[in-house]
Amino acid sequence: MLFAHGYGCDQTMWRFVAPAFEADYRVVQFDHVGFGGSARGAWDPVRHATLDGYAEDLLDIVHELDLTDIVYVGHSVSAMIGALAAVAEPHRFAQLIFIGPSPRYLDEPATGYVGGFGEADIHDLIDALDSNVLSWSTAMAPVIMGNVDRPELTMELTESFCRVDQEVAQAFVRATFLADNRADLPKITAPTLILQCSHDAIAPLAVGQYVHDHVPTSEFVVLEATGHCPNLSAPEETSAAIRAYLTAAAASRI
Amino acid sequence: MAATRTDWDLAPCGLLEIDGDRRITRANERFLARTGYTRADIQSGLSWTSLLTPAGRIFYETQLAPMLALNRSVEELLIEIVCPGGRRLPVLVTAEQTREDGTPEGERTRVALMSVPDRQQYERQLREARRQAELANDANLHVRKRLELLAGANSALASSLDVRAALGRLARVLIADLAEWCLVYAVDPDHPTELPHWAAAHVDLDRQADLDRLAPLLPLHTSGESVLRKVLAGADAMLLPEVTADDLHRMTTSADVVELVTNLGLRSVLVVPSTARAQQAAVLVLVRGEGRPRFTVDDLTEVADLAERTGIAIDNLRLYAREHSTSVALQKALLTPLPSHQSLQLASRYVPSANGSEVGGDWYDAFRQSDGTMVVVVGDVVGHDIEAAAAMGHLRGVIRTIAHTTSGTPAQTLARADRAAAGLQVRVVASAVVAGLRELGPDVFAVQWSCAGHPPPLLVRRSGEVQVLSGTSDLLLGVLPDRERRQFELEMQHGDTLVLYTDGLVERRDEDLDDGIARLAADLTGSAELSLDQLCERALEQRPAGSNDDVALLAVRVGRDDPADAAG
Repeated sequence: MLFAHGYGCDQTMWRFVAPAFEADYRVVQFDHVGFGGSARGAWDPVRHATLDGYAEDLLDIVHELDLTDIVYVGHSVSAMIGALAAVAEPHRFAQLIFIGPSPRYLDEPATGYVGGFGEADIHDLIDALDSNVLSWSTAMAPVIMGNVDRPELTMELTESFCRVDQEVAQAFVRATFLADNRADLPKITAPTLILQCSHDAIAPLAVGQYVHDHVPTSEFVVLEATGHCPNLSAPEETSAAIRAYLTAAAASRI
Repeated sequence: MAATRTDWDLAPCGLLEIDGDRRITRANERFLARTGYTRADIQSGLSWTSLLTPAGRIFYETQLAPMLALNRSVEELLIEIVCPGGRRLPVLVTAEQTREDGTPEGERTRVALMSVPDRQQYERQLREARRQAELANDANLHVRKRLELLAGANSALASSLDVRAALGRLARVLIADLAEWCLVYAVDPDHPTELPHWAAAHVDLDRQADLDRLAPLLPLHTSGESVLRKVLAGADAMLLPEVTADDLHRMTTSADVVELVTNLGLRSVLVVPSTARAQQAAVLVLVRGEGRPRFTVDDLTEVADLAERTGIAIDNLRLYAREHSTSVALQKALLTPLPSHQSLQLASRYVPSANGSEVGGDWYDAFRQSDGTMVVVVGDVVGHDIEAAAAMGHLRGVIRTIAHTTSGTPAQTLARADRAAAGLQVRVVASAVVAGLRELGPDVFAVQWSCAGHPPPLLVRRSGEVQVLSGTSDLLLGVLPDRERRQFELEMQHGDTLVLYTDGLVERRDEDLDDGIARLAADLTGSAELSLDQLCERALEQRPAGSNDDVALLAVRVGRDDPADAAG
């Protein structure tokens, strides 16, 4: 199982989900270039100007580890990154699991497509990120309170938590939110599970439905969890949904 | 519900409590007063994310929410709250999250919002200042990188006076920083379709041989689509950020070229003409392969800059080469074959400067006067250009004519030649040594010499001993033509050799000329046993490696037989 984190954080995103599969799968996690522990020098403003560059990175990992029969779990923008990789080399991928996917975040009035955002919003976001660069380190200060349910986090977390290079982050925002991967969806051949949150401000229900309608072999599951990160806010529900899908898929293969 | 004013309401900042579904469950009075929302709004289930701008929602969901989930708190983040009516209120958000019973349902986030109306402006100023600093820094780095590149290119181009060698060095500079492989073609404006001079370099040395095969083929098999052909035909620089296999097939008519280029790796190409004095001087082809970043407009600008320098340098090299070859030809034409003599052997050498960079005014000469005296001359005109070569020709002719027609002694010859040159307005400053060898008896000669500012002749005795005939030099020619000149005389026996030379043979930078002469003398000690040609070669071994000076050398030996023959 190959886990790919979405925009805004790093592989820490998976810490409540990935361990649930370690007994049954070889679990591979990584940080996208520019995030977490990735090598700063690996970022190439040209290669990483579009999601294709990130998909190439993903395939580099697949080749390096010679992964086959992959269950790919991509959160948020990494759903589309995985889609691109799986379209490029379909023989490597057994199943795709998209959490909160969106093939296009921007509205397209001409076709009536509703992605949820206008172009001005994206520029506002870049501005907001910029505004918070100074506060960011403060935000990451080790003030950990009320961690009653997950005490294991208290000690280690903030050291490595969601380290984001802001220059890279902004480029990633552009690559992510200005991307349009709708045409890639029908090319996906791998069986695909779409996990959709009930109230997701980033990838609304209609967008999840759109993905489901256009990926040929896909299942659509709406989680009770709200927000955009069920892997963090409702890890048990998320893991259970993935597990159920994989079990059913295995059963159907027998 | 009657509101009871509590400390919660009176806190000097907006306070909110949000549940796991993003719904605002509580809001204090300060918040309501500042934003304009009402208690009724809150009670109707106002969602926290609906207070945010679209960008703020993305920011919250992708960054703040994960951070809250993992870290349980965020501090002092700047976001904008959208108030009823659309007014935006900048606030600093500090929030903490708890899970009462460890379930998503029990999740509560308490948010404190400080209104910071001026903060945005302050942030903007800070950002602007930072951006300016970064720009300045980037610009500095960029400028420095560019200067380094230009300096590298300049020194590559200046390192040799041979166009091809200079292009080769330039090619290596280009792959050091900009390209994975590159080709540099020199364009001869008189024969623009022929590209005989090229240089090629690949970062991967294993592929250099392939690239060397491609270089001459590429221009021969261009199609109408070829960017190289277009640029050679006068088009501006071209940037092809992404070249596909189809593109490649369209640009060439040769399957070999396709195969070579494919193997070498091709993704992105720059083809940049280099002009000098409105004529094409060269074309630079820079390539990056798969997995390398595409070329950008910035790269194009940088290479265009380099190309301009390249053009000027190549043009200069060409002008130089033209002049240089003329000078060498002129000089060679003036160095006539040596005469023969029944009791003397003569040998001579002329060596141009090491890298061919300078033509000197060095010469040697040997001829017989009407009374049979063998006159030998070695001289050196000051200057290293075509004028020096021409002046040398004049002076050599003057000395030769005067010596021949007047049958004077060497001192007289030099004095008369100096005055004649002044009178004929041959503007030249030169050093020279003239020696006359007059036969006294069988294998015995009287040698007379006079020296005008020239290094002293050497006399290699048959015994092997070497005499440096120093202390005999007068003023250079072309300075004070009326000055009297001294003359010296010695006897030479069978097997003795007189060696005349120019300073290029002995002069080394940072060394006294006398030391060089002493070294030459030491080297020639014992050389009487060598044939005259061997002796010349040994003398030339003295010449400093990489010398930029030319050398003229003349040796004359008494007796026709080789020492080896005599010994036998």
